[in-house]
Amino acid sequence: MLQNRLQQLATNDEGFCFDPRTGETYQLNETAQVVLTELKKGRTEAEVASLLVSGFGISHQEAETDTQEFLQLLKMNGIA
Amino acid sequence: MRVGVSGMNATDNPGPGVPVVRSLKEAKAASHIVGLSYDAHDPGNYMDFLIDRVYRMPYPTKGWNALCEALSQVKRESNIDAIIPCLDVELPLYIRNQEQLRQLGIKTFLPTEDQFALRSKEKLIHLCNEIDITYPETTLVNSIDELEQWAQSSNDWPVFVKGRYYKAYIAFNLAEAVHKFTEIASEWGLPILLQKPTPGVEVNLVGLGDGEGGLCGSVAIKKLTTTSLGKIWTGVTIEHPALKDLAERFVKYTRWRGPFELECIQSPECISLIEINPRFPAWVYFATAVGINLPERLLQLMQNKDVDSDSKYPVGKYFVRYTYEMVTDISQFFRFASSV
Repeated sequence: MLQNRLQQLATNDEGFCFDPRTGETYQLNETAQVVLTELKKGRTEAEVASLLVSGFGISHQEAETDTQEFLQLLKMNGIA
Repeated sequence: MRVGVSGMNATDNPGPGVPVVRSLKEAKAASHIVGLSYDAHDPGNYMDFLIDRVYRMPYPTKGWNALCEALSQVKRESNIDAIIPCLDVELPLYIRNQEQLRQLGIKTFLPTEDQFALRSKEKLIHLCNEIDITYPETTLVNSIDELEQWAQSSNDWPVFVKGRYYKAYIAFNLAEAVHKFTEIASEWGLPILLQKPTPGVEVNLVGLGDGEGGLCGSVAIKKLTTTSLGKIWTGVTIEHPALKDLAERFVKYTRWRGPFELECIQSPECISLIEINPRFPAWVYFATAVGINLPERLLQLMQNKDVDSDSKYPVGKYFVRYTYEMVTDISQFFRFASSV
């Protein structure tokens, strides 16, 4: 279900995101762009967090928090 | 076909007439377009690049006889084959007298009086129960006394104060509610509806019912920005299966005949129906521009032609209104001002 909804989200290189089910638009920061891209590829939450650690040079705890916060935002916006 | 269209008020509170005409013109669905205008100031009156001739009509409050007399004149002089009425206040007259219009040689494609009543703001809650859709808690009041009684028992603010046909304001206390009650009631009459705000995102759908329970096309949108009157300024097409499913249940249950607009609120949990407008919305050209020309299909239904019921359109198409000016001679205005 989550994967279906994520696949529906249209994004571009500037971090613009459009939800065709609700018409809502979002501006994603760099971290959120990576998280969304990787979730759309079917990666798990843990795998996405690991990619953030290597990609942004942040701690594992910080990466986990960022990923969880993004998933929470998806829920709040009726996507997850 | 020679077609009469009302709702020439392409103003800051826009009527659907000009977008309907524009849709018909683009489809080359009408050979001659007559504008039926209630006000000499209506911008549509001056759009001779879209509208071949304009008649000034008596206000619906003058009653059917006056309107019928004016329509008979339009028929005699411009030989129209059909009318698409686009305004809420005139619809009851057209619906009640569609047989007389048919005898005059003027086709319409309208719901019956019973169908029309089913979606009225006063009865919408019953319809919502029948088609299994959530409806916000709503109370009907017919006087300020009743409004005050409601406030004493409920005291739950804010609340939307809504007119029977038009206007909706949010009120945060009794004084504001009384003020809006008076304003709306003096313009549009009673009852007034008090409706609890529903949290969520507003989504809208324009559709066309074939009168036999089928849906002859629909387009769903989200309004991205609105004017201070709540009218769409920018919007985007969306794909909303639950909204389309609701439209299908609505036309199936009511056997709706003609155009309609569903106004809904989508929350993460559910979709709620706020209002059903029994006509094209003023944003109907948006649907035309993404490939679903519902005014054209309406004329096809009137002529018993096969109608495409396709509702496939691209999502993510962006709609933006803009302002524009025309300059003509004051004699044009005098002509309309003195023609009723």
